[in-house]
Amino acid sequence: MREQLLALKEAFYASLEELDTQEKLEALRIQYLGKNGDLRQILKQMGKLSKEERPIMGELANELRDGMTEAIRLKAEEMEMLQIEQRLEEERVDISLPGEKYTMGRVHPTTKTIRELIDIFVRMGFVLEEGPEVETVYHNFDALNSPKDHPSREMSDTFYFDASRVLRTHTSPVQVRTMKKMQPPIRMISVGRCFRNDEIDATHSPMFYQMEGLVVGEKISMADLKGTLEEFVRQLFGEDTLSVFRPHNFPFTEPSAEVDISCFKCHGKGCRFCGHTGFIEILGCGMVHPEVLEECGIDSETYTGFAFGMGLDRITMMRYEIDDIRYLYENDRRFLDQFRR
Amino acid sequence: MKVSLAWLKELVGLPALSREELASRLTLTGTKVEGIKSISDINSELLIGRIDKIEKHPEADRLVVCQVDVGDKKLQIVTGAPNVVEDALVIVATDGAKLGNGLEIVTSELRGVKSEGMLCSLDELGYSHNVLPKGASDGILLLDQGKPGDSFFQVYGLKDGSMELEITYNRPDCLSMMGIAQEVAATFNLDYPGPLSIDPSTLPQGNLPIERKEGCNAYYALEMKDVVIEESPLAWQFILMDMGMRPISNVVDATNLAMLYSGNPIHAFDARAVEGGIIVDACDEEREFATLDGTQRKLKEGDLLIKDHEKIIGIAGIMGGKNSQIMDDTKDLLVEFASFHPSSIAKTARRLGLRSEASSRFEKKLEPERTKLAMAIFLELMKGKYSSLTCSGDAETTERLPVYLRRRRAEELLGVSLSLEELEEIFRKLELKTEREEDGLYVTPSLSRSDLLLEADLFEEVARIYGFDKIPSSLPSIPKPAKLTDEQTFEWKVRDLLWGMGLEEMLNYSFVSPRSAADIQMDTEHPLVLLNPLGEEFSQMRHSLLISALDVLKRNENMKNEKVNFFEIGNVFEKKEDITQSKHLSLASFGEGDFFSLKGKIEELLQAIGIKAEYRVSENKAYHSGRSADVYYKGELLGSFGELSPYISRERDFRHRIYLAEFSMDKLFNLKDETVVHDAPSRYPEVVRDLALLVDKNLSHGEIYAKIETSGGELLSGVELFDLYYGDELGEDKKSIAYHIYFQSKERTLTDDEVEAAMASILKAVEELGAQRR
Repeated sequence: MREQLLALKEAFYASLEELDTQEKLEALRIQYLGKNGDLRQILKQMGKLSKEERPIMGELANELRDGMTEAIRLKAEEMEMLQIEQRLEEERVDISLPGEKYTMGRVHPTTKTIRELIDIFVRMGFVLEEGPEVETVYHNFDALNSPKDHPSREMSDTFYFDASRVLRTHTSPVQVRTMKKMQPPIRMISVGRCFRNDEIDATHSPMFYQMEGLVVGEKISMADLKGTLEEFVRQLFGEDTLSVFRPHNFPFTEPSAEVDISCFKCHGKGCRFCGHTGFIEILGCGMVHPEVLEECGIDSETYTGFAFGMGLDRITMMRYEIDDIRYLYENDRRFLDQFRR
Repeated sequence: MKVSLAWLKELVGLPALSREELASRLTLTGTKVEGIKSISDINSELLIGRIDKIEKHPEADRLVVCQVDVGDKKLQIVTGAPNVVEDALVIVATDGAKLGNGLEIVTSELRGVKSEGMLCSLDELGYSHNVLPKGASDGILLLDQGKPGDSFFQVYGLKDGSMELEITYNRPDCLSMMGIAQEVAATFNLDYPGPLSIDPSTLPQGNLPIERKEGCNAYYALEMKDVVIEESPLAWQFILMDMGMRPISNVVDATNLAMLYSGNPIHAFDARAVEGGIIVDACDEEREFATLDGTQRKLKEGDLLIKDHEKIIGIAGIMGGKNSQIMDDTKDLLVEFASFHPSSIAKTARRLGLRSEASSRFEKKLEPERTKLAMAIFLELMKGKYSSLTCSGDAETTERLPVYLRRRRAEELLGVSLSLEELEEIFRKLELKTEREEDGLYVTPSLSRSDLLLEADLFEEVARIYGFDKIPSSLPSIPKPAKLTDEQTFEWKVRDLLWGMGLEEMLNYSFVSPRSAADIQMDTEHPLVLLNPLGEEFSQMRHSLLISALDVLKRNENMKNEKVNFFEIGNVFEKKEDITQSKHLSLASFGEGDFFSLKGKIEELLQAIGIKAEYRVSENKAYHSGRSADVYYKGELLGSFGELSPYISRERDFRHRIYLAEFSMDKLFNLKDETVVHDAPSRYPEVVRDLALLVDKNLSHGEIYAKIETSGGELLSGVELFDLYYGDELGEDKKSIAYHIYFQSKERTLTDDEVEAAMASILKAVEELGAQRR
C-alpha cells in the first residue's frame, strides 16, 4: 500500500506540474481527491492491513491528502495571478483617446459677470433690487436731476412708448424706486437690461446690461465711496489692481467721478488692450446729488450717499477680450461654447 | 475739444512737464486729456531755408533749380513748384528726412541735375484734409517767419501740438481757450490774468437799429469799413489747423479764433447786404432759405432768425445766409457778436442736421457778456486791417449769486478735514471770490461758471482741486448682512439646473419684429410698440421668448452648428390696460433627441422645484399638434412645450426638427415647493413583478399608469414603464406596454400571497380599460 500511495503522489505532482487551466486543475482534484478519487480507492484497502500498519498508513494518507490539497490551492493561486497579469496586458488602452462625451451647460459670459458682481456686493452687505425695464420719464430722467433739455432725453437717444414712458436708459431709476420705498440706511445694487437708440455696430448695441449701486446713510462720505469701490475692483480684478478716481459729471451725483483701473492684462505697463495707457475706464460714480435725495423723500441734511454704475457688457468684453459687442447677442453656439461654468 | 498748446502757453504759460504728466494732472482735476499730438511727431526735423537763386532746369521746362541757404550749408534743390521766388523762406526736407504724408527724401538726380532735398508744401506735412486751407497743394509753403537753418517746427511753436480734451456737460465754459486756461492755471497753480474783454460803449458808437426779440440776450454789431481781406498770418493758420479748423481768410479766421478763445461764436456779414437794420426774431411761418454752404433749408415756425429790414440773412447761432456772405470784393463788414437761448438753437440745429462749431457752443448756455470777450480778441486780431469802425447794440447782464459752503459739511461729505485757509486757497486757484462767514465761505462764481449754483457744486470744486487721490479710503459699516430674495435665488437655481443638464444660456434683444412674429403665428393682441424703433425688426417688445429663440436657432442652423440646446430667462411685455412685464423661461433646441428628451429635461426641472405637473395635449398653434403639451399644476397653466409646428418650420425653412418650451418664471416661483422631508428607506426587500399588457393603441400611458397607482394598494412602492411595442402580430390598433411593478413594506418581508393579491387587483383595474395581460 505504501508503494501505491507513493506512486499516487508521484503521479499527482507530475500531472500538477503540467496543468495550465483552472478546469484541468479541478479535474485533477476530482481525480485524486474526489469522493471516488484515486486516494479513496487506495484507502478502501485499509481494512486488509494489519493493526500495526493501519495507523501508519492512515497518517501517511492524511499527510499525502493535506499536501495535495495545499498544492492545488497554491497552483490555483498561481494561475489566478498569472491570469491577472495577462489581463493587465490585454486590457491596456490608448489613454490618449478622447473621453466619453458628457456635456455640461454653458453660462453666457454676461451672466458670469453678473453673478460674480452680485456675489461681491452681497458679501459687502448690498441687497439686490429690481425695477421695470419699461420706465416712466419721471423715474428715468426727472427724479435723477437730468436737465429738461439734456440730449440724452432726445428720441435719437432714448426709446419712447409715449410721452411719459421709455425703455430705461440706465439702471439708475431703480435707485429712485428704492429710495422712495424705504428710508436709510440703504445699501442696494441693481442689475439689468438698459436700452439706448444706438445703431448696432462693434461697440454699440441698442440693448446692454448695467449694474448700479447706492448707499445712503448718516455720514456716508466720499472716502466711503472710494473704499467701497476700491474693494470691489480688487475683488473682481485682483488684489493688486489700482483704482484712479477722475472727476467727471453726471446730473445725479455731485461730486462725480469716473474710475480707471490699472490694466489687468499688463498690470499698468501699457499694452494693446488698454491702448498703451496702462489704465482702463470701468465705472462712473459720485455722491448722490442732494436734489435727488430730496426728490425721493430723503432729508439731504441728515443723510448723504454715494452711487455708482457700470456697463457689464464692457466689463465682460474686457475680461474675455471680446472685441465686438454683437457676439454677446448673436448666440452663436461656437461663441457660447467657450464659456464654461 | 482740441486745444493748441502753443496758444495756451501764450495765455497762461505751462509748466515744463512731459506730455504724459501734463495729461495726467489735467485729467485728475477734471479736464480729461484724451491725447496730445503734434504734427512734428510724424515729420523729421525740417529746416527753414532761403532761396538764393533760381535757374531754369536745362532738360525740363517745368522744373527749376534752386540754390537754398539752410544756415550751415547751401543745397541745390530741383523743384516743380510754380510759386518759387528768390529770397523766399521755405521749408526744406533734407536728405534722409521723412514727411508726415509718408514721403522719404533722398538726394538724387532729377533729369540729370542733382537735387539735395525737397521744398515742402503744406499738404506734405500730414495734416488731415479737412483742415488744410484751399490751395495747400498748389505750391510750396512760403514762410513769414524765421531765418535759414532754424527749425521750422520750433519757429512756429508746432512742437507742442494740441490736446484733445473731453469736456463734460456741466462745463460749457471749457469749450473755450479762456476756460481751459483757467483750468490749467488752477491745476498747476499758475497766474492767469483772466480773459481779455472790452466795454463796447468805449468804441465809436454806431446808429444801426437793432431789435432783440425773445431768445436773444445780446446783440452787438461792429461795422468795419475798408477791410483788407487776405490770407491770415501762418501762425494763426497753424493754430486753427491744430484745433481742427480750416484757415480761410483773415476775417473768417479771426471770427473762428475769437470763438475758440471766448467760446462765443461770431459771424461776419457783407455790410452791403444788410438793409436798414438788424432784427432777431422767431420765424413766423414755414420758409425756404439758402445758407452760405449753398444748401436750401426749410425753416419752421419758431426757428430763431437774423433778419434785416427786408429779408432773412442768417439762422441765429447756426449758419449765415448765402445772400450776405463775404465775397472776394467785400469791403465793409458787419460783424455780429450775439448770444441766444440755447434750447431754441439746439432744436433747430438738430432738425436741420446742422451741427457746427457754432451751434454746438450755442446749444450750451453762454453768458451775454461773453460777446465782449469775443469782440476784444477779434479787434486785436483785425488791428490795422480796416479804416474805421462803429459799434451798435447791447447785451443783458448776468448776475452771479454767492453760494455758502459749510466747512464741517464739506468735511463730512468728502471724508477729509480742510481748514478755511485751505478752502480759500482752492477757490483762489479757481479765480472765485470768497468771503468768510462763521465756519464757512461765501463763494461767488465767476462770470463763466454758470454751473456753480449749490453747495454741492462747490464740494465738487474742492474735491477735484484738492485731489480725489488725496481723499482717504474707508469702508462704511454694514448695517445688516445681505442676501438675495427667494425669487432671485430661485432664478439662479433654475439657471444652475439647466446648466447641469447641458443647456447653454442665450441672451436675446428684448425687441422683435412684429411682422416676423405674425409669420410664425406668435403675434399678440396686446403688442407693446416703440414710438422710435431702430427699424421694423426692433419695433415691438417681445411678448414671448420663442420669437427670438427661433431666430437664434435659424442663425445657428445657417452657421452649420449641428446641435444646439439653449435656454433663456428674460422679461416679456404686453400692453393691456397698462404695460405688463413678466419673467419667462424658454428652451430651444435641435439636432439631438426628440419630444421625450425635451420632456425629460422639463420633468427633471419641475421635480427639482417640487412641482408635480400634469401634462395635457396642447392646442398652442406654435407647436406640432400631436407632439406638444401644456403643463398644469394646481389648475394653473405654467407653460407649454413640444416640437415646432411643421407649418412654421416650413415657413422658416428649418432643416431640423425644432423643440421649444416656454414657461412663466413667476408661476413656477409661486407654485414651487422646495421642502424635503426625509423618508427612511425600508430595511425589508422589495418585490418586483412585471405586467405586460395588450391595449388599444390610443390608450395613453398616463391613463394606465394612473389606474395602476390607484389600484395597487398600500404595498405598491413604484411603477416603471419598461417596454412599449407596436407590431403587426398584435393587430393594427393594438400596442404592447409593459411595466415593472414594485412592492415593499417598511415593517416586514412581503409574502407571495400578499403580492399576488395586489397584482390581481391591479390587473382587474387595467382590464376595465380594455387591457389584456400578455
